Amino acid sequence: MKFENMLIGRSDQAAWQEVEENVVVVNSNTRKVHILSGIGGRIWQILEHPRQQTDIVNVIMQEYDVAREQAENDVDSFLQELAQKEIIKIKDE
Amino acid sequence: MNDIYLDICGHKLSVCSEDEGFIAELKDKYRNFISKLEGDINILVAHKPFKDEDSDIVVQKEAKGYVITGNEIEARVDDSLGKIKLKIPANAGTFDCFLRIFYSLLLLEDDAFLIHAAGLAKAGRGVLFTGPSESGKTTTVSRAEGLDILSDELVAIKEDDGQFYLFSTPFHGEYRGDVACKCVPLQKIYFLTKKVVEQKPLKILEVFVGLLENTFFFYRNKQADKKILELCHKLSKKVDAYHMNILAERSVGRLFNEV
Repeated sequence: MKFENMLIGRSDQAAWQEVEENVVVVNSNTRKVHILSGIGGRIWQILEHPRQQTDIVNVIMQEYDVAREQAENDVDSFLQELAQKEIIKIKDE
Repeated sequence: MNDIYLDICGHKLSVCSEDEGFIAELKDKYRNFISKLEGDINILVAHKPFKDEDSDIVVQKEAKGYVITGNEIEARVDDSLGKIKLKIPANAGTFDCFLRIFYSLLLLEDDAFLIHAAGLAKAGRGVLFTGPSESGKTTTVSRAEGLDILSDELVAIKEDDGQFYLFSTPFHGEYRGDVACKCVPLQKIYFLTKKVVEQKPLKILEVFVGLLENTFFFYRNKQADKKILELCHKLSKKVDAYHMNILAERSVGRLFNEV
């Protein structure tokens, strides 16, 4: 899935709870439970308001002090995972 | 019309049917939960022929309440959850299936939920043994000499003013004996496993996810899930939890001495 120039947000069917350093997300359609830790939990927090992938990458580069290429790879692979779990929504800006 | 009054998890129900044999079957099945008082939740049951359907249960919200369908069940529940029109074959098993689903909706209204678990109590203290099918809930109950049995399949957990309570239910697994109709403070949680276990308290995240995975809930709705998440989170912070391999325990009575 390509996220370029798309607006990415949390799915309307995702319920979540922050637990210690993690975010636990339930997909209300499937009732599956997903645990997001570390950078994954932080990306979930960033998605409180729909964002473009580049905005997320910029925040991760800044906060985790990583090079752009690594941040882009990490964010892309995490967003792919969230999309597969159907807990984010993606739309054209 | 024939009827039966029940008192389950602090809610009083009146169940009414034209089929005398059906009501007699309910009186036996729910013998530990019969009330003398008429309920404020009314379930009017009409019957249809048994078709041996095995379809998924679906709970849907409509303009004036909920519709529950599947597994021979056709139910319309009004918004107040006080008036129910139910159409099922005249057998207590199908009624019980409906009642479990109805209770999963009803309990959430007062900060409570159903969980796949055996519940045991002694001297006003309750312990929860939770786990999926085949994890050992019925075995736990079979080793509960001298303890009150709250259920071997589904119990209700309710939060009240920051404390958590365990309610017995008539929703059984393979256990066919009597259960104690009562509510006790929840003191400890065990997650049943068949692996070798360490006797150390589980982390909040493990407890939280374990509770979530064992909740009994069919209504696919984000707001309802948010409430369950909130309750499970509070519970995981409040009550100590451990793993337990029931096959390694001769009697569960000793666990109450440690509470």
